[in-house]
Amino acid sequence: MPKLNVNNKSYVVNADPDTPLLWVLREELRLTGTKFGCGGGHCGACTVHVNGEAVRSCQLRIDDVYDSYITTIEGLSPGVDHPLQRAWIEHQVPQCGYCQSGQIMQAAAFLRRNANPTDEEIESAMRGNLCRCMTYHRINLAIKSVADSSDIQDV
Amino acid sequence: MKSEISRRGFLISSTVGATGLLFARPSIAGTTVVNLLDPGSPLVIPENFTPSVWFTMQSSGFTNVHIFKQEIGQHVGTAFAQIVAEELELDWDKVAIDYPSMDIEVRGETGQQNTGGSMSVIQNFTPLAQAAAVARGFLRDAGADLMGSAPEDCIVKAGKVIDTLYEQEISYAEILSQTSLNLEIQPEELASVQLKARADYKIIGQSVPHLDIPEKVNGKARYGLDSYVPNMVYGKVSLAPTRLGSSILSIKDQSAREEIPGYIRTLSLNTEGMPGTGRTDVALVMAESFPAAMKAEKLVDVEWEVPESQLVSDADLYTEARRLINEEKGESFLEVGDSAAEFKNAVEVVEATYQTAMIEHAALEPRSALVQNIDGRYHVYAGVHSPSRLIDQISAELRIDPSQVVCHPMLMGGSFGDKIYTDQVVLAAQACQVLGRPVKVILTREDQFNIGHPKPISQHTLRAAIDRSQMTLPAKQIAAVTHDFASAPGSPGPVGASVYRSVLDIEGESRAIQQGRGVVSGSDHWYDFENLSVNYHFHEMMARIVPVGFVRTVGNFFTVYAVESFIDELAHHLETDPLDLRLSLLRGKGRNRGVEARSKDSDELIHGQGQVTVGGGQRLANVLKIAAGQANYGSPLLPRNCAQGVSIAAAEGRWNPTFAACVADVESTSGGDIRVRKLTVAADVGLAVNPDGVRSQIEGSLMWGLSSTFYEETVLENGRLKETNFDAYKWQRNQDLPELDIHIVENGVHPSGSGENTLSLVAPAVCNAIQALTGKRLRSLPLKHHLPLV
Repeated sequence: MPKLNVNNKSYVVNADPDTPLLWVLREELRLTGTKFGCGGGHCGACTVHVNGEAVRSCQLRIDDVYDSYITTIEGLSPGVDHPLQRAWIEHQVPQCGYCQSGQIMQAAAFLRRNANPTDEEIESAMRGNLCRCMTYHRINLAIKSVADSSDIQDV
Repeated sequence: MKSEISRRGFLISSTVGATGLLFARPSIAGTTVVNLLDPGSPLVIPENFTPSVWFTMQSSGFTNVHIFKQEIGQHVGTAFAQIVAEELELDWDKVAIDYPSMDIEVRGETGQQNTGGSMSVIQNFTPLAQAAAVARGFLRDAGADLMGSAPEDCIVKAGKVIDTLYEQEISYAEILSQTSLNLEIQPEELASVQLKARADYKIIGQSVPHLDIPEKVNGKARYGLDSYVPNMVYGKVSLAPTRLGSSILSIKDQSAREEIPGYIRTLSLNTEGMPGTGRTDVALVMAESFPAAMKAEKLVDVEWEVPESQLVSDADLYTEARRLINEEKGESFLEVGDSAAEFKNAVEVVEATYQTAMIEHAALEPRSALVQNIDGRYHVYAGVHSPSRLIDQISAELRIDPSQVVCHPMLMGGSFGDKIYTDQVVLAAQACQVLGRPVKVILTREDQFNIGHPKPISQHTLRAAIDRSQMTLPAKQIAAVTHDFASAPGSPGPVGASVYRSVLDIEGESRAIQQGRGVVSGSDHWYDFENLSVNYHFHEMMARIVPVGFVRTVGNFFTVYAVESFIDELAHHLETDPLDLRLSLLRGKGRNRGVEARSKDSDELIHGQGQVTVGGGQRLANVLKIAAGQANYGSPLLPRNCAQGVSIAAAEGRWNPTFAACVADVESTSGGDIRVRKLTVAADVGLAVNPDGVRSQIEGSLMWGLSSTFYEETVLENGRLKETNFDAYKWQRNQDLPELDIHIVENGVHPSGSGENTLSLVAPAVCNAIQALTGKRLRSLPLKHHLPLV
């Protein structure tokens, strides 16, 4: 039986191998923090980490990620302890909040690769994550605040 | 007043401080329940104190504020909790919010609860404050009674009743664990209760962190799409070739049955977004999982009958809109003075036409609904604007009694008006009734676009009669203005219209016009035109082809664009500064003065929702001055490739005006493109309950405005909405963001809305700046069709 490694737990899943990872996370594992926005990889609401890389879970078949390590928003920290989550609260970023799991996962993978980004690099990294409440200014502020703090080591 | 304090504790001694209170065997107030560990020794559970439907106080010291408005991203719960905490004198750390379920019993207590029009705070500010203030009185009396104090010697502060004379105090928690307060607030108490003075506010006016935000950063927040019950099945819609008017002839599902494990069947259903907006057939493909339903839907062959009359495209809608304005009389929405007489004799007329496209809500969470039948009652789990109205829609659709419908509100992953419409709930309920299993319907992004309720197109003609013969002041040379526009409403029904004999009149003659809901908003502006005529033309063809909807800031988006562009055109024509022309037309004449701040025989300010317009046009002039000053309007320091444009708005309308002004700084790039560098906005919300919350709503509104100005357009092609996903439907991304310089002004006595009221400022301010920069006047939206300017 194929297994999925999600948030450091191993799950046996009962879904067709071509099922998008997004729907397995949401419906089989009930990890509903990962959101469905477009199904076409255009919006970034479904962003998760696969082996540390930010990817659109609506665009991945589960049989492609059986041996990978997947992290969803629920696995980023036990509560709201990740530096980005704290910054999101500090800057009161979310409005409806629906895209914010994806925004935070995208930002986390980005900051791990680039701990000292310029404003342009932040925009460029986040451009694929749509927010219909248009909280972009606060998203960028929150990311910058983490990059500029000692918390950056804990991202 | 149903007033009864059942005092179980007996006060024998009091010393300073809450902990010093001693009670003789305080037999705890509460209900005895069976103790499963030891049935012989019952548990006593303290009773909660729920003096009104709006909040419940626990003996733990925590107060739950019950939020009957829906959470869409506006943090309404936090604002309501602040209002209650302020008047109830709660410790802010002991306040929580919840979103109660709605059935007809609850509705009997709360009345209809719709969320929309940026009206939640404006409507609830006074009722919540009054209920909390009355409850504070109950607690003070109970606390005084327990301490053996005279109530008039006691004050209430931070969750404690304090006897100032004998220097003793008792907390709400202690009061509620020692007594049962069986009190209900009566209507007459509400009206007479004394509310706190604004100067004494400690929680209202503070940017306390929003209570709903922590769960929105860790995946715990539960949206409609996250709803789940055991044994549920999934529905995927298969939609008609046209948005309205097509009907199902046959459904062939042989291949789905053979090839898709988990496929159940396909139902032929019929639904609509809101009663009266237009029904449509839908084939609902049912399966045990949503991926299976999606696969099966591709294999199910639905044959449709498509009437020729529905095969209408964008161009047809615009042609019809122009025909309506040019050939039909329309309905008079507003008449001030006698513009017809002025135009008859006019020697000089300025005319301009404007046009705007359909815009999608495009909330990131598509609509969904889960419906489950438990013992004959249909339980709906969904994020919708009006659970109380949904009860009636579902009971009518299923032909069941309203008492058989219960709505459990879920958070909304954005709406902007989208989740006012409940086609998908109707489908889930119908399928649940047919299949006898819990049914969850999820719209994919493609479905969401196709079964959307977009903002209607609009077409405007504005004309001004200019008379330079006697008057020298430019504002005085505008003898009359007419505004004719064509569009369609987000829901059927009448809307109020008025006639004023003169601009100096305060009271007018009221009438009603049909089919104008939401659309006419903003056309009743605050400029002191001596003669003004606003005519609305209902675009019946559009309503028959697309059930257009209420989209963030509704008609203000296009009426303000048209009016504020035209004012600028008039300023250029009269060779005066657009800012000066506006200020000279904002003197608050007649009804534009707003309601009176005081009654004739009193020095006291009048408070309440009806006072939201106090100050009127003068407040618009004031915010315009603030924005202009903050933006350094007209400064020679501006770079050569930049220019500024101004605009004002008092959206959502006279019942909810946030007096606001904007200065847009735009620059042209070498390729002829236009980039917005900065938006400076002053918004007078009267009173800001949570200033940072207001600010975040304004930030979002301005970016929405910018996105609508430049990019957004949904195209109608042969009766169907053409875009299917975000690759084709373009909107603002996290790039090229302008600086937002937002100034919150509080020059009123009552809060006005902030969720959408500043959105409409952006398009005209940007277009006015583009004219100042390039000399080109752009009279249609979105601007992508005009750019680059060559």
